[in-house]
Amino acid sequence: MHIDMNSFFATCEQQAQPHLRGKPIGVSGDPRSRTIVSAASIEAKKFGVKTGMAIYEARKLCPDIQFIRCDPDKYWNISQRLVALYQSYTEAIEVFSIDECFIDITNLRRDGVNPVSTGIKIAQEIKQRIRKEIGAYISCSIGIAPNKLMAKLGSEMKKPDGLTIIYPNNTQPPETTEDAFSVTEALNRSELQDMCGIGRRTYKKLLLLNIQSFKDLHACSKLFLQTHFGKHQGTTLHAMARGIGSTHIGHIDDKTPPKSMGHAITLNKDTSDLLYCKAVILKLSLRVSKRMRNKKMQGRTVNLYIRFHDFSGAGGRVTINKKTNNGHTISYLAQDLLCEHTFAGKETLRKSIRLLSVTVSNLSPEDNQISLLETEENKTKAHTAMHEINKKFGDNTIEPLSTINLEDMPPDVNGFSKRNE
Amino acid sequence: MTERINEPITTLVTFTEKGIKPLAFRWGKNKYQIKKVTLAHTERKGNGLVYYFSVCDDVNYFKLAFDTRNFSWRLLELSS
Repeated sequence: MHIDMNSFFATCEQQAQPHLRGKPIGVSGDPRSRTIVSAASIEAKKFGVKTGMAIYEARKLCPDIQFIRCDPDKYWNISQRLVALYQSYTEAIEVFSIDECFIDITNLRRDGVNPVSTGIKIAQEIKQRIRKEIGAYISCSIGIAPNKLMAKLGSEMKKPDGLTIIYPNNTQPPETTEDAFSVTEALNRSELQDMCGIGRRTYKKLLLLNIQSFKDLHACSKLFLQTHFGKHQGTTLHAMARGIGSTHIGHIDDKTPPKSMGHAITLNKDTSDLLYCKAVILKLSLRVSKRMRNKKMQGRTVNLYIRFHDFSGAGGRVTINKKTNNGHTISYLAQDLLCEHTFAGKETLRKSIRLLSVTVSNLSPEDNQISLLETEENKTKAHTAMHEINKKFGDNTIEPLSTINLEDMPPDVNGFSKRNE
Repeated sequence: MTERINEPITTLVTFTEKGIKPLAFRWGKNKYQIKKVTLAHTERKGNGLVYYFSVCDDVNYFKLAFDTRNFSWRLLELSS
């Protein structure tokens, strides 16, 4: 079963603020600054407003749209409550994103009823409970299918508040008043780009090969697809056309250790001020450091990515011998990379910067090896104390002087996985 | 239009088996009777927990915050 919350951020706001219900709204950053639409309400989507659109584009399409400032804590908290609600049925849950989950209902038979009928009952119950326990305006679309790929497609088929069942081709349709299609019927009713895994680029490439539907894709041989899309993607597309996908859903607590941790930020204004950029890098490094410390991890490679005002990019990486999770050390290394790629002398950069990103990779579990150098040891102690204070009293209770003037820096907006770190 | 306020308020609350529920509050000289709690959520701030309540009277929407670190209530937002 795949559960997809409908226009999640926007409906959370409409739930909280009843005067916004039935109106086109967009959840965004500060509308006075450079920001995009993080989520559009169902009403705004009817005008063509989409996630990721610039504010001015959304206003052009829908002049009456109201922009509401993003409240990440609200969405994250509601997301957690939703996951807790699903957990009352099973622990076999895979959190796909802040507003999407896969639930394995294969073994949830009730009173000898087959799994599909049980799934339909549970889906209807979940919808009711969300309305009652979280908020009457919050709705979701649910897809029930033999695998994750088709379940996700099912939840896409009817929005908002849909429930779609996709059953295997060689079986009888379930007895239900809800929408039910066989795998082939569901594929034939869907557009190629509705399928998770067929992005903009793949879709364009498919069209160039005159593949316009799942029927066309089904007619292609595996060899043909592998020749044009590579071995891995070709095989995946061949399986997709037949509705074959993964059925594995792990346990809610299963977590693979992260390979890297990073933060990126689009600046409110393009800037070539070196000191400002250095301060932003320090702030990003401290955010990365906080997550690494919470996860008890350290890394050896620091990556910096810079996007310039003209959308060209530059970046680099540096690997050190001694692993670290010290925000200042990460910051010094990233700042050096910044100078290496953009320095033009006298505290200015050769090009205005639009976006900065700091990532630490080559991660491994933390070791508490004491440094033989007293100054290094003191720095580690100071950094640990700073981390503990912020952990106890809240973020930014204590921070370096150089980052204090970054109050206009957008808040840390994280996905579900980052929030858990 | 939502206005950011962030000012202290005096709040009358009830503790039920389902949790805490604000009933009315005084902001300056004005008293407001809460008709509906439309959404409640929490946020961890350091070791403390802050409860947020989106509430309505007949004409206005308010966002209230209860900070468990100092047991204080604040009016964060208002929209009329």
